[in-house]
Parts: sequence; structure tokens; C-alpha cells
Amino acid sequence: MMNEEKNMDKIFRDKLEGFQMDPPPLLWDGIRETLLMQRRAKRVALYRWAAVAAMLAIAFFGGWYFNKTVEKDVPELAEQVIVYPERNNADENARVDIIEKSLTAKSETIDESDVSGNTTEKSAGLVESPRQKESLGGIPDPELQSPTDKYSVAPIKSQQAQSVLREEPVALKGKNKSEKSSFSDAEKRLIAENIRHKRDYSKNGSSWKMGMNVSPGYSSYSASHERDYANNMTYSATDGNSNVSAGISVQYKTKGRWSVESGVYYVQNGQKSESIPQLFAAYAADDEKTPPFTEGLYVNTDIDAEGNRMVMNSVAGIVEFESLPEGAEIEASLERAGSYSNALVTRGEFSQVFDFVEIPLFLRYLLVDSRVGLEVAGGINAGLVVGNNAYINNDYGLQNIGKTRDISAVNFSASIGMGVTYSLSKHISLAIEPRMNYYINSINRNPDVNFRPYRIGLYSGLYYEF
Amino acid sequence: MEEIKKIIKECISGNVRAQEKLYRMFAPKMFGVCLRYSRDRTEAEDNLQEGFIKVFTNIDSFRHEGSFEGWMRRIMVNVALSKYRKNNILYPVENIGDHDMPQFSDNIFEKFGAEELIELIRQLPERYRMVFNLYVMEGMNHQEISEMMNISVGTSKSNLSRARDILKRKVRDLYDEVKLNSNLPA
Repeated sequence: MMNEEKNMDKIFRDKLEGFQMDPPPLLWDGIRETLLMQRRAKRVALYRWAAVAAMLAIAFFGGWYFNKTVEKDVPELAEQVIVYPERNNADENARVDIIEKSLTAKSETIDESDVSGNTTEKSAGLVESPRQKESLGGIPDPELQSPTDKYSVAPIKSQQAQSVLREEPVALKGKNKSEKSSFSDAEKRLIAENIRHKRDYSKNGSSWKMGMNVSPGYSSYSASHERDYANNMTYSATDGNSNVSAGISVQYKTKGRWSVESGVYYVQNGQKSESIPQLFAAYAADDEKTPPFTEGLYVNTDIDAEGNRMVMNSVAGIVEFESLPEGAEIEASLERAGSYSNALVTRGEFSQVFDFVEIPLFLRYLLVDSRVGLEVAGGINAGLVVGNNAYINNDYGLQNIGKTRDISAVNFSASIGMGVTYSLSKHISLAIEPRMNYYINSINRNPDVNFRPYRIGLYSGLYYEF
Repeated sequence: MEEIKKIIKECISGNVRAQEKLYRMFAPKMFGVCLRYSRDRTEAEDNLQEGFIKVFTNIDSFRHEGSFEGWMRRIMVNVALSKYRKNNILYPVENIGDHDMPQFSDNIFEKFGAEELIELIRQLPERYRMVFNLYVMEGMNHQEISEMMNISVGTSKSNLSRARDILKRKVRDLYDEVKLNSNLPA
């Protein structure tokens, strides 16, 4: 038995080992064309990646540059401090000193309108800031191979139900090898080649999409603080900021409904605080009887003198004053709730603004694929802090008072959104997408502060697909 | 040998003429390989095309350590195997025990030409065809076949045995038929 098998194997091997047969002449053309297409596809992919990288680099450095330029325009205020130690009210022994400071602008070339103008321009500047492919299996198995010719395997009960599932080439469908069609062999091969090429072309459905986005939105925060920090903290209001973000978006669309998006966005986050006329401000108001403290909104917060600087515990972290704002008073009191013995009182509003350059990595899924499309998006953003400013807006205008300490340079946020797209043409489309962006880490490294901004924006943009 | 090296070098740099030259040199032999592993001629042509595209795409990875023809042949066999894995269609076949087979003189195979033998192989169920080709023509052992096809060694052995039995039965039927029709001397 074994020898019989070995002999049989040897006969097959000897007869077939050097067997040769000329393939159809058209086959080489198909190989050459496929190789050329592969080479072309590689080149195009390289160009596309280079274009995307260049746009991202331009957008990023552009945003960074302009942001830097704007920051330089913020005037620096220097102070000339005149201290009038004054014991005021004999009935209230707690109050020891009231220090009055008057401030003069160091740079006389910058007036108030310049200050507010600059800041307004900074917010408005957002609108104008830079935006935002196997099987060559090719011809599946035709039924030509159906064992109906003279060598059919009669004793074999082949359950070939599954082979019915196999796809047949359109031109040869239903034809049996023994049933000669009106096509010659050469014509059949030609038809088969055409079908193969058509499939190869139709497989190539991936594309790129680039667009510009503008997003008006509202940014606020969630925060928590350690107790000691919170005792000395400024009043925590829930006010957020209305602002506009803008950016450039780049999407790689797969052959299916998925796409991957990146880009560069310029975004502002922050918070506003103001105090109701509470205890100490009320004292200040009563004692001073000065018009600024008798009505309206107050910033009334504990401050500490640290080294040669004043610091204030704000919601987003410790603010280092670079200058004392005009129209503000520092009250020294022994009866503060926290450990800081001084308070800064001024009528107006305190705000912290953080400028981010965000680089998103989103996954998008097209729910409805038609002229009016619907898609969902979700992913993460790397947020690079490019601006960190604290302001007081009072009767003297919007004044930059300093920076928030311990802000991380790079932070991460999660985004989710659902958008509607409208195709204007084969290549151009409009999109509008409400999106929520929430920072998954506290942007402040201070362990006492957990400050996580979020932003809800309506992203609308124009896209070009290629 | 040196000529092949030169052609390969030119193919690596993307020279279309060199690619065509290489194709003309090896295509008939590789088509013979593809025919053995395919159900029909069309599938063999597809495999040959896909195989040559892989050859030209990966030719820079050829280390000149073995024969270039052997390297190409492995690529053609791998194309056929990957298609088999992808389809992974199992043909349940009637159990044909060895004892069912009448005594058979293997000299009968000598009376058939290469094309007729290829035709017989092509009619085998896909998995049997693969195992028969890998064992008989590529000289692989059952362990290697089982790893390549993701089947057990026992299955490989059983498939080879059944492939042989089918071939014997077919040859006997065919031979009887031909003998009846043409009084071919045995």
C-alpha cells in the first residue's frame, strides 16, 4: 500500500514538476496596469499627507503667532501706592487698617479704550483667527469548475450548497464549461479583465475632507477645592463665558461610513466671578460710605501677600497679581473667614480666560449617507494652553491683573457631537454640529484645585472633499 | 544567474521592461503551478496575476539565498493558500475507506499526460487538492501542512489519503471509459 502510494506520488511529481503553459497574453497587461495604479496611489497618498501636515503646521504656528502678538498688546499697569493707615471706626475694633491705593497707568500712551479695545479685539479675534484604501481574487470562482464534464466525480456526494453562495462573474454566470457560449475564449478573458478592472476601480472609495469651522459657544467649568483653599477663595459663581472658537478640520474618510478627524482649533475657556454684597463688602460699603460699594456687583476676595506679590485663590487656581487694578481697595481685617488677612474689594467682575490650541482626534460615523447626511462624532483633544490671563472689569475698564498659577501646558478633553451635513456639490459641503467638549483632567496642577472647563459650541463650517 | 540578478535589480528600481522580461521568463512555469492549485483556468489566471503583483511589490525582500524560481513558487502557493483560508469552504465528502478501493495498479497513471493529471487534481475538493499539492508537489510533511492550513495532522493525513483514493477512482473510471470507446490496449 505504501509503495503504491509512493509510486503514485512519484508519477504525479515527475509528470507535473516541469509542466509549463503559456498564460493568456492579456494577463501581463493587467499586472502592469495594477502595478502602475499602486505606484500612482502611493504617490497621491504621499502628496495628501504632505498637504495635510503643511496645513496643520501653518494653522498651528499661525494661531500661536497671532495669539502671542495679541498678548503683547495688553498694557502693563504699574502702581504707585500711597498708604494711608487709618483707624476708622471705634465701634468695630476688628478693622485695623484700610489701605487706599491709587493707581496710575505706567504707559501713558495706552488709555482705557485701548485696554478694552485690545481685549475686545482678543475675543473678536477668535472669529478671524486661523481655522480651522484583495484579493485580486478578482474574478470569483465561476461555475465553470462544476464537475459536470467527463471527469465528474460520480461517487462523491458533494454537498456543494455552499458553492452556490460563491459569486459568479457576470459575463460567465450560469455557463458550464461543457456548454460553449457564443464568446470565444479570448473574448471571455477580455470581459473578465474588464470586470476585474471595474472592481478594482470601484474599491477605491476613501477620500479626504478639509474644512474651516467657526463655533460660537458657551464655556463654563466644574470645580472642586480643598477646604483650606476654598476658605480663602473668591466667590464661586457659575457664570461662564460666551465666546467664539475657530479652526481647521481635516478628515480621512474610509471606504465605509467611518472617518477620522484631526485639525487645529483655537478655543477659549474660562470663568467669571463676582460677589454679592456680602458681609465684608457690606462692611466696606458701610464704613467707607463710598459710592462704589453701595450698589452693584462686587469682587470681594481674600488676598495674601506672598513675597513681593499679591495672590488670590480663584476658582481656577491661584492668581498672581502683576498689578493692582484701578478702582480697587485692599482691606486688612483680622476677622476674615480664611487665613488670609487682607481682602480686595472692587465693584465689577473678575474673570479668568484660558486660550487653548486644541488638536482633536475624532472618530466619525455617518448615520445617514445622502445629500443631507447625519453623523456622530466623538474623540479626544490635546489642548495646549497658549493664553492665561486674569481680568477685572470695573469702572476703569477691563484690566489685565495677572495670570493663574500652575496651569498645565497640555491638557486633554473629551468631545462628543452630532452633526448635519449638506452637500452643495460633489466636492463641497456645509456642516453644522453641536458639540460638547469636557476636560478630563484638571487644567491646574495644584492639588488643592480641581478645575475642569467645558464648552458647548455650535460648529458650523464649509468642507472640501477630494 | 548573473542575468537574473541584474533583472531583479532593475525590477527593484521599478523598470517596467525588466518586470516584463522576468514575467516572460517565469510566467509559463508559474501558471503550471497555479493550475494545480486552482479549480479552473480562470482562478489560476487570477492567482498568477495576484502572485506576480506580490512578486514585483516584494522583490526587494528577495535575499538571493535560494533559487529565485523557488521563491516565486512559494508566493504562488501562498496566494492559493490564502484564498483557500479566506473561502474556507469545507466539502463534506463521503467517507471512502481504503478497503473499499479495488486493487489498483498505479502504472495506469503513466498512461495520462500532465494536462490530464492536472485536470484530475483540479477536480478534487479544495482542501484535498491543497493537501495533495503541498504533500506531493511541494514535498511538505503533514506537520507543516497542518500549520499552513490550520488543520490537524490527522486531518492532513486523512485528506491526502482521500485525495489519492479519489484520483485512483477517477483514473480507473476514465480509463475504463476510454478503453471501451477506443479499445486502448491496457
